[in-house]
Amino acid sequence: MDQGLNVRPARARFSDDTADLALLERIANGDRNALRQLYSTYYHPLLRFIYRITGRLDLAQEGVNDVMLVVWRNGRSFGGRSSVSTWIMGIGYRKALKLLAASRRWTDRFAGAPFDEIIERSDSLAEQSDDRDLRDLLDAALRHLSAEHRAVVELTYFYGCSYEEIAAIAACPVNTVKTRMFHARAKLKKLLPALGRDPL
Amino acid sequence: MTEPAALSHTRASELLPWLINGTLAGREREAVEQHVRACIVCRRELKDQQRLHAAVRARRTVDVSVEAGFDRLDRELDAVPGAAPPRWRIRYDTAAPFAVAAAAGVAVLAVLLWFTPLPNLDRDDYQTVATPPAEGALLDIVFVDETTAAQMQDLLDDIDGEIVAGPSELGRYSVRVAGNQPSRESLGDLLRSLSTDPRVRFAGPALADVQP
Repeated sequence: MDQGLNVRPARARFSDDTADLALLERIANGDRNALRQLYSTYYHPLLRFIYRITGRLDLAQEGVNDVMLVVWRNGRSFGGRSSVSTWIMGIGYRKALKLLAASRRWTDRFAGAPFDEIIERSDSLAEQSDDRDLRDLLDAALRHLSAEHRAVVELTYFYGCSYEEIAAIAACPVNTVKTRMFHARAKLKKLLPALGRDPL
Repeated sequence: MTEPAALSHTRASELLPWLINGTLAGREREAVEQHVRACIVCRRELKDQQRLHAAVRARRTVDVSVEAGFDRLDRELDAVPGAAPPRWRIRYDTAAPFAVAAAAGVAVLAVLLWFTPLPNLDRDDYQTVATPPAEGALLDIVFVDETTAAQMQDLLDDIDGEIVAGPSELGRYSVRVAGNQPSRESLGDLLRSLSTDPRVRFAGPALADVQP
């Protein structure tokens, strides 16, 4: 590895596929304790993921239980074409998009500040910003991405998924994943010029 | 050992996020690293993306009790124990009488509408799909398969547009073109220009608005 690139692999893994498969087998036989264990493993990853897509904690909590209900009912039909975590996150992705679409019929929670205002805030804060300021700005900027683009950023940079895994989760071609990430990066760069400065 | 095949700048740039998160492997990883060593633009982009990566990972994680969530699920499972029937069946059983009544109502309505004369529509009373919405125009664009992400971005920069949704399964992007109330003529010029652009397979006014 070239020292000059200073690329440090940083994969975030919250589950073990062998253990997940064993739990899934017990769940398929109606073992409620196995469901509780799998629920505990996936609760926070799923809650965060759905929350990041929908922007609402109540929807995220509802989404987690919807996902685990699907796992309870369909555990037997898991085909093993992907890892258990990819399968479960894929269910979570679809639930999140559905919940978001339903909620938007009632409220417009994502009508944030105009882009210019965010860029202006980002500029003025760049000199004095600490990490918390930047994270707040990042939260605001991410809300201006589409739900699909937010999901790709989150899956790549927080969950450490490969583009093949993301394609399986989002049920789309790998080129679509790369394109979504490319556009998300371009838009975030426009919204957050502070991200491109030294030091962070 | 043979050198990895050279990668174009666009392809290498697209893969930087997965170089950073450590999931690129083998020849692909070597090829991206080789390109980055020689490309100052990608080296700068790599640094920017490493900052974004760090900022995303540093975002607060929602802290809510697992137990309360599982208790709710547990109660729901108790209500429908064991191998519960699929939801559609439950809904069908309870909704069947209403569905029959609704179908009869639709049939009556259809007969009434058949005999109702159509009103005279004045041209100013309705909007065509090409009528620009209040905040810029929304277009549907399908790019040709060979168009790279960078070329798409160039085109978007040229028309001062941004993707607000997509791509759909068929490759359709919803693109909002900036500028308040573009005239119908300027929108027509833009669509004509896009329809002859070699990067574009289809461009037309959006059939349905989307939330950004």
